[in-house]
Amino acid sequence: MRRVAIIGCGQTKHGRRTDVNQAEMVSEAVWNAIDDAGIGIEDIEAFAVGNMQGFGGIAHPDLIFAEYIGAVGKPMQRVATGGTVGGSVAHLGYYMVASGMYDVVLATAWEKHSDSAEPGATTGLLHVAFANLSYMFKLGMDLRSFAIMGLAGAAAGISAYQAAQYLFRSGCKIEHYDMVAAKARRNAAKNKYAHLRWPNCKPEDIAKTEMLIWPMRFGHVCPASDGASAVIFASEDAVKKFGIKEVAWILSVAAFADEENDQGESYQGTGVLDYSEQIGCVLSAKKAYERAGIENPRKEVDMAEIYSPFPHQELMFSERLGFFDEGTAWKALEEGVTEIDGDFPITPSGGVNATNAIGSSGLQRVLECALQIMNKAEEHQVPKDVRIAVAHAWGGQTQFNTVTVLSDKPKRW
Amino acid sequence: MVTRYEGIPFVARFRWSVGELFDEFLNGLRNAKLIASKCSCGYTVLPPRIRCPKCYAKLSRENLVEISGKGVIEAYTRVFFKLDGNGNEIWLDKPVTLAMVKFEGVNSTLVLPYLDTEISEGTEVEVVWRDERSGSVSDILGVRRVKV
Amino acid sequence: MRVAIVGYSCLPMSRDIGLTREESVFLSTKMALESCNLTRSEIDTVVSASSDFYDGRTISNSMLIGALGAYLKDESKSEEDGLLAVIYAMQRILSGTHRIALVTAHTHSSIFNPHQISRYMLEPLFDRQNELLNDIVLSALQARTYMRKYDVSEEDMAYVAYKNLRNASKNSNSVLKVPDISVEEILASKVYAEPIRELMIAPTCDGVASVVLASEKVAYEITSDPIWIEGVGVSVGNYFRDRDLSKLESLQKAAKKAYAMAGISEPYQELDFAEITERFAHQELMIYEALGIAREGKGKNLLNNGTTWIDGEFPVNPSGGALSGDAICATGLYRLVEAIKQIRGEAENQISGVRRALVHSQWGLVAQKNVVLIVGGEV
Repeated sequence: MRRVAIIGCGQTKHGRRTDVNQAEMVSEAVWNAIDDAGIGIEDIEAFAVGNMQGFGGIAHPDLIFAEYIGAVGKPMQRVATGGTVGGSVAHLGYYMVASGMYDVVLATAWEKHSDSAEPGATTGLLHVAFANLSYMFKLGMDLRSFAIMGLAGAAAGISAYQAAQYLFRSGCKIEHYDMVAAKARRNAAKNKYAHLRWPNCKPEDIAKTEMLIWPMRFGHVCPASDGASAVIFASEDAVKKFGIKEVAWILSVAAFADEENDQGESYQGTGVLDYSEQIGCVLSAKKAYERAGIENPRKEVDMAEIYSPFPHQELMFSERLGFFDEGTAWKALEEGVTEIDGDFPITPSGGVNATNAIGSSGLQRVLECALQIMNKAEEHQVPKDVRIAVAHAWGGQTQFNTVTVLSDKPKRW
Repeated sequence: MVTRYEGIPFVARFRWSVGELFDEFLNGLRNAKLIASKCSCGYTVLPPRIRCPKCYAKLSRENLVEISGKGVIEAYTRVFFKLDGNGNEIWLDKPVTLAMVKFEGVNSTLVLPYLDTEISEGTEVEVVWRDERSGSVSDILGVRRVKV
Repeated sequence: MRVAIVGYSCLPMSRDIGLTREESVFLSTKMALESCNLTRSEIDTVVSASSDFYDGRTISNSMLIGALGAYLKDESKSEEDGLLAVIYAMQRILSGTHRIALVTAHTHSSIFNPHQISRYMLEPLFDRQNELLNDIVLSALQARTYMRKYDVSEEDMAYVAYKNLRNASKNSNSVLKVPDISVEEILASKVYAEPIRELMIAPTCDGVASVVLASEKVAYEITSDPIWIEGVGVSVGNYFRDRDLSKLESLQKAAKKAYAMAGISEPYQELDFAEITERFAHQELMIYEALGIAREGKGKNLLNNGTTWIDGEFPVNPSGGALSGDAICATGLYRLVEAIKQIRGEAENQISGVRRALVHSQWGLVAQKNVVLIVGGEV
């Protein structure tokens, strides 16, 4: 099996980027990645791209950007899988190299929410928005809260439902959600590319914010950011050829899909009742660890970048990914285990709760893990040695999960 | 058979950020000027942008050039219909001629309405400006034959 | 390691397929499994192809996981032509992680007019502001550019449509069955944008098609007639404003890559036929040239002297091509399914004794992106 490494990473500053148009924004990340890898555009053989088209209002925008990112005359493949598109783009880039078809592939994912004149992230979520609406009204949200929620990104309605289910299932309290959100913003303050940066954010600061729909406070909700990320995948031979010393190896990928979490409204008829169960994530993690030769994730993995636009998801997925036993993630949080200088740092970059450019977010999790392994995360570099890191993303109606295991060595043993 | 029903009407509005260089292009339009980007490799792209579409060199304000606004028709077509935004065909009372124009000193082509009557490939044309301009692409009404 | 196609299926294309998206995708996927006697549990990975804009809903595959056979399976979704999903599935197999993949591509044009979507592919700041611009008008400009340079006539364009519509009338999957169509009727059909007339435009429709791919190690356990993917080529060109519209440069590049991988140096000799995607009739002539089976500007000769007819030396589009029906994301897979049927001897408009074919599809305004697969049966 061909070994694949990440040899370069590039991002844009995420936030409200009205200073650039979509094409310029994507090209910023792409050329940053090429510079970071120290190679030339002629070395890139193919491109993997993806975003959620609806948000930016352009269909298949990569066709317009191809000439901004050096893709003319080259192969380009596009995927789109909802919020996890960034993770799917990473997997596509990985497979394109692992297959032997290409030696060097640039993967990029992006989102430009500010191009939409509709509130928050509703434009791209035309379908999911309906599911959101029905949940929000079912759970008693009023129109004013809905308007405030309009400033937010992602599938807020469905996630509020999931947050409540997780609360009951795990025995944690809403204060734990406040703690996670505060940690995200504190970490983001150390990440120069992040959007919501709040250096001394405390759980009390989050607890003071308005309750939108129990148990989701305004302070829990992620922003709708503009931004792009790019990562360059290369084969082992290419790494040798370029003579690049600092790389991050992909040990394995897995992306198991569940049916849409629509509780009885699903077309398939079976209906997922507990959205915090996340079988797809459990399976993806299991398969990814198996392929990577990892038997005890809590001991063998050093840190994780978990896709959590809403704080409960960090706790929930850290259990599903095997880092903590069912219902104990909140204990680890209280003990400081998941802080940036803790025993098992989770999302030291501040993550999606502080920066959510939907297309970019999934790829950013892979990018951040790579930076940590390569010791290039600058101010938010975790103090401990990072040898194995796990990147995760979810999307769709909380049904898609992508898991990527990265390492400082090409093989586990 | 399946029942089909119309969805809930939903309009999604957009306001695209244009970027610095396209902003210059729009300023140029307000002053009845066409601004392009000329790369050091020789390729001139219209409207202006931050990367050369051929050699990918970074382009900036320094690469902006004003072009004459005169060009040549490379291809044209008489268009008999348009789409109404909902996917329905609307048949025009009179066909409109669209011309693909190669402006002098520019490598890109632009598709613009042709406002004269006689036309052929190779016809020399110039931009027709709206009298009251606001710095938007509608400041260009189209092109017409250059008066000899 | 090689990858083979071991099973396939498709639904007849239709202006309105009369089924929900979920039902139609389920049917095609189920039939594909049945075609090679596999159960869902034996599939390692699923890649689907559909486009949110064309489907009129975000994350379009989120409601289709069950129907696609992807429930609790490693899956992903390509958002472009189905041939690119086939290539992605092939990459998943070649990586060694998966052995058997299921690919389904679908679009229901009856839900929303694809030509309207072409407007959303336009660059938003300048081109989209011209309300007359869409893919049909752009193809008219492309046709004019090509026709002027190489002295190609409207009759030549109509003759392509004539050939393909005749072939399509023998194809039970096609949308338009007009066995008695004449060149005069095509030249008299409604003008959209000169010189593009209604019967020269591939009719958009509903369609779903699926293929099952397997790695070399297991292909023979599944079928005695595997169709090998011998070559792959993908290339994207400049956006139309900065491109020479008289030729399809990106297709030239894609074809070259595919030929190199398949070890083909003389495509005209070494290939038996081709199934290509001509969204507009004139594009077929440009495609002959880009593929290197006709010299530059001589595409019309190959058509007019009968070479690319069903009984010619190098038949192109025995199925009728995209003019038999354009199911957008599924169009490439319909081309591939026809190629498979021809090689296996199961086609309706059968060409005798064929083993190796070129399958092509395009994506983007005036064929900005092109995909080529070379497929072949056992030697």
